[in-house]
Amino acid sequence: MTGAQLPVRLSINGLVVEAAAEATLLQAIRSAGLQVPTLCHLDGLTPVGACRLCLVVIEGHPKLEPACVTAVADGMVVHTHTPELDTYRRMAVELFFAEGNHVCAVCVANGACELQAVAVEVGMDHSRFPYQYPRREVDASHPLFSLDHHRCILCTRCVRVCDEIEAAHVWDVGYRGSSCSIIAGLDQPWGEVAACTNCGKCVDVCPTGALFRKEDGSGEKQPHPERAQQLVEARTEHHWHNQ
Amino acid sequence: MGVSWRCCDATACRAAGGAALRQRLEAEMGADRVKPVGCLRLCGMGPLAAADYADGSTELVGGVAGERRLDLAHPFFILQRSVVLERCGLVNPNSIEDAIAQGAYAVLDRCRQLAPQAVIEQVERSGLRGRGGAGYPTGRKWQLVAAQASPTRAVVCNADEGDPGAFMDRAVLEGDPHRLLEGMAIAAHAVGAAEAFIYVRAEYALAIERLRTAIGAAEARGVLAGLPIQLRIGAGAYVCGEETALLHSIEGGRGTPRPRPPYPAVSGLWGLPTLINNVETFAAVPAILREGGDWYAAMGTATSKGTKVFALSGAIPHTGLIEVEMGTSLRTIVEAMGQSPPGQVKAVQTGGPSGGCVPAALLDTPVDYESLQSLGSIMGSGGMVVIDGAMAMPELARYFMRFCVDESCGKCLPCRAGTVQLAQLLDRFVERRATAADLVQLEQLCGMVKATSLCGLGQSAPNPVLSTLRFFRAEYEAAIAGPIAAPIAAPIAP
Amino acid sequence: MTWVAMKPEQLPSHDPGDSLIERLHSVQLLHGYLPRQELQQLAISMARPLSEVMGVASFYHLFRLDPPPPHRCVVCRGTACFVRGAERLEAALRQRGVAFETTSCMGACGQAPVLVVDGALAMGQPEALPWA
Repeated sequence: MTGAQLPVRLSINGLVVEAAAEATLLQAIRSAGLQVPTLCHLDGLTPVGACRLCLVVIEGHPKLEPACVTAVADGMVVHTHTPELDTYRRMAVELFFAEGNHVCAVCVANGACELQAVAVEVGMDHSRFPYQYPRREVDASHPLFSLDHHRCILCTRCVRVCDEIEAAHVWDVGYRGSSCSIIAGLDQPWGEVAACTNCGKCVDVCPTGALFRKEDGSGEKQPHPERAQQLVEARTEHHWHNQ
Repeated sequence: MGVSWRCCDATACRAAGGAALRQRLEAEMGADRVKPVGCLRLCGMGPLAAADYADGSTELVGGVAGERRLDLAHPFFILQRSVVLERCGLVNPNSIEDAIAQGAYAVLDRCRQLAPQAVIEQVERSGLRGRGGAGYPTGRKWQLVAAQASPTRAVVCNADEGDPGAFMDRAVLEGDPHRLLEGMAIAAHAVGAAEAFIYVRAEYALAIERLRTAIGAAEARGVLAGLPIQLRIGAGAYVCGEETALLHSIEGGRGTPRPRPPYPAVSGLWGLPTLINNVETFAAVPAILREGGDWYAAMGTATSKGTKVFALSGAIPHTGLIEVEMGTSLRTIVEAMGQSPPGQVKAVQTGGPSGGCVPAALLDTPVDYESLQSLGSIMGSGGMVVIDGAMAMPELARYFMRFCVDESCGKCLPCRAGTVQLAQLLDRFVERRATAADLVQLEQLCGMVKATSLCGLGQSAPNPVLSTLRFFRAEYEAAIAGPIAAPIAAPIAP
Repeated sequence: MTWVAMKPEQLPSHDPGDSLIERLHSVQLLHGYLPRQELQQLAISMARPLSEVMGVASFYHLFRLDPPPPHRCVVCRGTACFVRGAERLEAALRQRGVAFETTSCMGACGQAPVLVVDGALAMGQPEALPWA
């Protein structure tokens, strides 16, 4: 992989798309004006391939591939929506709703929630899997922000933005399996963690109402997921967005 | 003149009172006539000791007082073909002198005179495939690592044997640790690696102790020619048997897998091209290089060459460790070697939580990668648990699903949340309160978790359910209470 | 090959003393568990974030974040043990009020069902327990 490479041509849903050789499949899909749902992915952060919503069919590949971490290749034939994929995506969203406590009507992010948007996109209005009603905590120890674990989907955007962009690494994932949770410091109240710079980027990029500003009431959260990419561009390309 | 004794000093026989047996023998015969060795195979009859007489005959006894005389002419013993285990049970695992006297490191010395490519060629000719479960051709993997443009590479041994019912690797580690070190050193020479790591699960305390001793002795004697082999101890995470999770764990992080590619052969430990094989794979290497790849390839079947070690356990009279040629039928293993009376076996579970159940009617299936896969099970690492009629299949499936719930790392949604839902669905079948809709949902969710999980743990978690559904569907249907209920939601398009 | 480079790892030394997991093992060997104070010290001395150290410590089942009870009893949940009555063994322990942990297969399948009492492996026929 040396030097600039020629763009590649691939087929996505029958459309011939040209993409930079180093682009991901997700970038190619979106630049062609097509859609595939994502939750853990966020432009500006390292992709982790964890939510599995962006899985696509690539002809000749025995398994489904996550578009966010798969590189484009010349001649690739990709399908982003098949009956199988639609089924799996709907089931995935149901699993998300069933594993946490997501009550849109009283949520700060109602109307601005990516999980909600994906549910609408895949046509999910209720979960056929039993809701687990897990007992989780709300951490309101921080002077400016709160973390409601009931609404957390473990996308780890907060972990990555805090580590990769703010370099404070307040957050990480603690524990394992269905007991996983986002932890601050040594799994202590957020407000006690001296490493936090109060920058609020974790709140900006959170796709749900898990992280929010204390002044936000129901439906009042205004997320800024674009901020991660803007900061990366400012830092690496000296290109500022003057909002 | 006289008789000398070999006393099994591996975990299973220790648990069964091996120390008492050894003390008795030492008191009777004198300590110099009794040596500790690794696994003597028939673990269920332990503690075991073998007497070697001057006339070349051998006797095997079991029990703390040596009260059971065991028949070495039984198929359990004579149908074995020891390659990986050729020194296990003969050599004192704590003595490098004994290992060298029995041939250890001689092949390594010879290999060092050969060009790396020549070594890889023999491994390719042998047809050896990864013994950890996936069965990737070992020679091809070595070739791939060797071909990477990098000033240095790493060799990693996956000794995180975690499948419930599997103890093959433990036997090698406890019984003949120098064999593993020799295999790894040969691999390091072949792929051009400057450092090597063994990742061993913390539960294997005795194996860790033996490895420490062996590495210390090998370094002191200089037989590894300067290759540093580091031991890294796990901390209780089954998912670390997955290669990218294992690498994260060696690097000191959470044992979570990452999407591949890049494969470790390209970018592994700290970004270095990394060769990962499991214990049994490395342990097969010295014999292959000594006798030649063709010799190894002459054993087994067309696509599954050589021998395979299995841990035989469960509802069967003879439990223990066997090494047989690939292609041996399950019936031979279970009925002849395991001495299970015909008709008593309900199924044989292979491949642990990633595998499945082969029903009694198909016991004539030869044990090779493809045959087991075609039945919805897998070769896996070598655990073979015999199930009898007392075990209900939905319950067995739930056991494995609960295992996956406990061991899911939590990174990807289908495995983290899907296995929880699957285990709860299986509860309904075990408790006989399931509906027809539950059966539909069970199969759909199995399909989803299998197709969409990030790593092998999640992708194979549904296998025990799917396999028992395939062969024992009636047991699931019998658990559906009452009349066939209407689905709770519109059925999902296929 | 079609892949996108993941987060580039820093290249730390490969010394076992620089492995967080090895250091956590050492702390647990000394204290019997991982006291918060020690985790904090470890994070400082290794110049790692607190949450990363806690993330690793809480991931692995064998690391204890709380002091262990004076006696430890661990029941094997391997398949062979399951097939040979580990659930009855667990029920028997529960009935007698014995606190126990469980572990995945310990590899002593030939002796199934097995349990570990204060570090020593024992064959766990329910009727043969010392508490019986």
